[in-house]
Amino acid sequence: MRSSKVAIVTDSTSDIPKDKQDELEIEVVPAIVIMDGISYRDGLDISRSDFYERLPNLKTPASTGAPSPLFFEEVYEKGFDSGAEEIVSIHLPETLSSMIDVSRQAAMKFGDKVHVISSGQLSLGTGFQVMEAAKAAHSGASMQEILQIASRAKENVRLIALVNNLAALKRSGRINWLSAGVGDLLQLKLLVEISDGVVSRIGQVRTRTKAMGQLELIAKEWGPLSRLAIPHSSIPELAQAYAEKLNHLCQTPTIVMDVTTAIGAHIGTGAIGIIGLLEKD
Amino acid sequence: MSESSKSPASKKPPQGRSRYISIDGRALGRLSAAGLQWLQTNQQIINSLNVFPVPDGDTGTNMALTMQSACNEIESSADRSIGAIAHAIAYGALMGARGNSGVILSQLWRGFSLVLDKKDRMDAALLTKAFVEAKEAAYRGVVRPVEGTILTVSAEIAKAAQLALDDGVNSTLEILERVVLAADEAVQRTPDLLPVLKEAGVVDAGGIGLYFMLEGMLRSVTGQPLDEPTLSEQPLRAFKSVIDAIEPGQDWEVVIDFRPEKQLDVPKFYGHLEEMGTSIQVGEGDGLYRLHIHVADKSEYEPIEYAKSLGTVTNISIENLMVQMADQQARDNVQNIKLTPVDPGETAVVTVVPGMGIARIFSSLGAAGMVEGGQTMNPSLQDILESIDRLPTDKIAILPNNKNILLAANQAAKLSVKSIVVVPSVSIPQGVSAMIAHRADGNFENSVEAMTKALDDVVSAEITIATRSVKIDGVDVREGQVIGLLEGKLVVSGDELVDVLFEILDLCSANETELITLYYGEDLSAFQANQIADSVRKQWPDQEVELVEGGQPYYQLILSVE
Repeated sequence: MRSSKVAIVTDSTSDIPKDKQDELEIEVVPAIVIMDGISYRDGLDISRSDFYERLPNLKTPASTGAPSPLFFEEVYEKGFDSGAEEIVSIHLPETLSSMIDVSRQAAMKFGDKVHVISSGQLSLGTGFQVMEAAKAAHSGASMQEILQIASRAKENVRLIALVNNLAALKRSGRINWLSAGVGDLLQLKLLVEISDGVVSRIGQVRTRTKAMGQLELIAKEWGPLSRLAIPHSSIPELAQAYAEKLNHLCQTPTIVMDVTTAIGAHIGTGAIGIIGLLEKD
Repeated sequence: MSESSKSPASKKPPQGRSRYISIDGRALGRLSAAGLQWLQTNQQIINSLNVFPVPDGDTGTNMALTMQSACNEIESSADRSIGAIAHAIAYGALMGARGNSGVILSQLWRGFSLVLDKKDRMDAALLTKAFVEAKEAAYRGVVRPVEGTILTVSAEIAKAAQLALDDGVNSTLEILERVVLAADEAVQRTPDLLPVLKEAGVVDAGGIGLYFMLEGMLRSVTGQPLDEPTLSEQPLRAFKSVIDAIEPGQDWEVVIDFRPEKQLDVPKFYGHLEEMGTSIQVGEGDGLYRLHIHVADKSEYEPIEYAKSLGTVTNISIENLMVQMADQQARDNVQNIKLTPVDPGETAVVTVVPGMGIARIFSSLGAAGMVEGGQTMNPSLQDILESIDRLPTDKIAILPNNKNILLAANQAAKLSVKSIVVVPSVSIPQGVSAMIAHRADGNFENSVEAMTKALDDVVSAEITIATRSVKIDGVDVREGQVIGLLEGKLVVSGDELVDVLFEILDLCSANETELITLYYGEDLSAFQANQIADSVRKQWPDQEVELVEGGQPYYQLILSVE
């Protein structure tokens, strides 16, 4: 039986490390990734490292999708079976994925017992909100309080990243400002920011070194952080070194991880970002 | 200065000279036209005086075009007073100013005209004052005046005029005579003042341009011809840059180098050529002649047969002008480039582009305005101003992308009523770097600051072919060799392009950088460029190597490391 009355559910795109999932009793619905015609459940049928190893060599570009509503129903059932009275289900926004629509569809079956929330974010931008909510649930917070805490975390989360494979991102069709000629003739590394489900361009440079330097400057302006993560797509050494460099911005250990396949499929390898949760109270 | 106080030293003026005691606007107009004609006649000589053995912003062409614009303006002035005509000249020169020398020339005219404001006629004293003010204006227009240039010549002119006046000279003609002498001497001394000139064995091109303009004025007064140069040209080189207007019936361009067996009968020789074709130019050097002619279809071998009958032919080149022209027109239509639309209040970038490929790159990066131009074709001030005026916003950054265009861009920024900032890019890679840093939706000052900072993010280099033999900055160069310039400075010469490229990349410490970008010019095919890029990738496996079509003339490669 679970220790809290409120169960917290998310999907695998939130990038919450396994140990944190276990520690905070977070239920995770796997995203689906399709590679050369075959569907895999993210983290179950294929590991992140396998995914990124295969990504550059696919015959057709990888695509991603939400699992069937049945997956969600199963996870929600499991939550209620283990003693939860209510569920908070936090997912990436509908502007970037159909995940949250599917979860809403599944939630209808449970009346008002399942609260579906949009994180407006990606990767640990969502994950940090989920972790804050789970922490509160664990300490016995009420539904009202948990929703407030999640909403505050949503306001305090920051995500900036460098995207270097614009071709893949353009193909995704998810970023409308990227359609016109950007990086067609001269390769560019874009600096982007995600806020409220909107991806916006905050700069562009030509080298990764410069991009990472600029991201670092922006992160330093954020002020003290309670959580920090360095998501990357298949550049672990670089990400690890970057994390060590930025560690001082945050009191808790920096999380370094291969970013979710839901992002990786659209930005290719070589991307890196900074996700922070502002320390504010 | 009164009429009676003649210096005993001054010579008795010959007949007809008395009308030059003072002159009116009409006379100044005639003198300017003569100055222009003499500049045009000597244009190729001035062009050939490059410090660097690279096709440079052709000073002679620039100054002649600037004066052409000045003279065109004279005709539109209804007022024939000297003040009005001088003003028209200054305005026309400014609007048509091309290249650094053109801009300085326009500044000289500006200073000159200020003194004559509202005056009907100009006497020796006023002329002297005008020369002094011209010099002042020119020096004011340059941030860091360099001696041994056109500026020095203008200063010597002002000094000579003042001395002449103090000597009691009281005719504008005699002032002009003294000034032309002084200008000539000053030009000859420019290599002593500017070491790069001495090293290259040339006098300053802008300085001699100013001299020619004044000498042309004097020649017109004294009845000397203005259509034949008095100095010997360096014809073997000059032909390369000759771009003629092509008319129907001139289908082939034939260039023949030959060594005549006997002394050439020049009038007979020209007579024969004129029967064959048009655009005839003949250069001579060390007994070797180069003949350039345009002929009709099916006649392309006639000049060759003729040259063979005269002596030994050493080199022949035949080009189909019609095909060349059609290709050129299709390629060079910058009008086809898509520009980023801007809304009022947004910040925009106007950039100078030397080739279609470069234009497309700036287009993809969001440039809102483009001016064609580069190393050898400096856009006029008016070209830049028009591009600025066309945009519906008043916050515009200009990227000159070449040191020869910097001054014109600065002048455009000064003249425009809009708030224009010149981001002083002196190479294409710098321009690209700044363009990338530009934010259309951001605050203008921040955007300009980021763009300016981005100039230092890249190291720029260029690879071209030496147009003559020279030793400069300790590098020995033979004409026709491949040379490499790093941040505008000649650093490498060699026989193979790839060797020079590798040496340049070593000098830039490319192995410590992340990205090498190669912009290949119109002289390289995509295939050749790909081979070069592949060899760079092999040599620098840890660096990203990006090959882009630049389409720029003269420079086989422009490259950057960052």
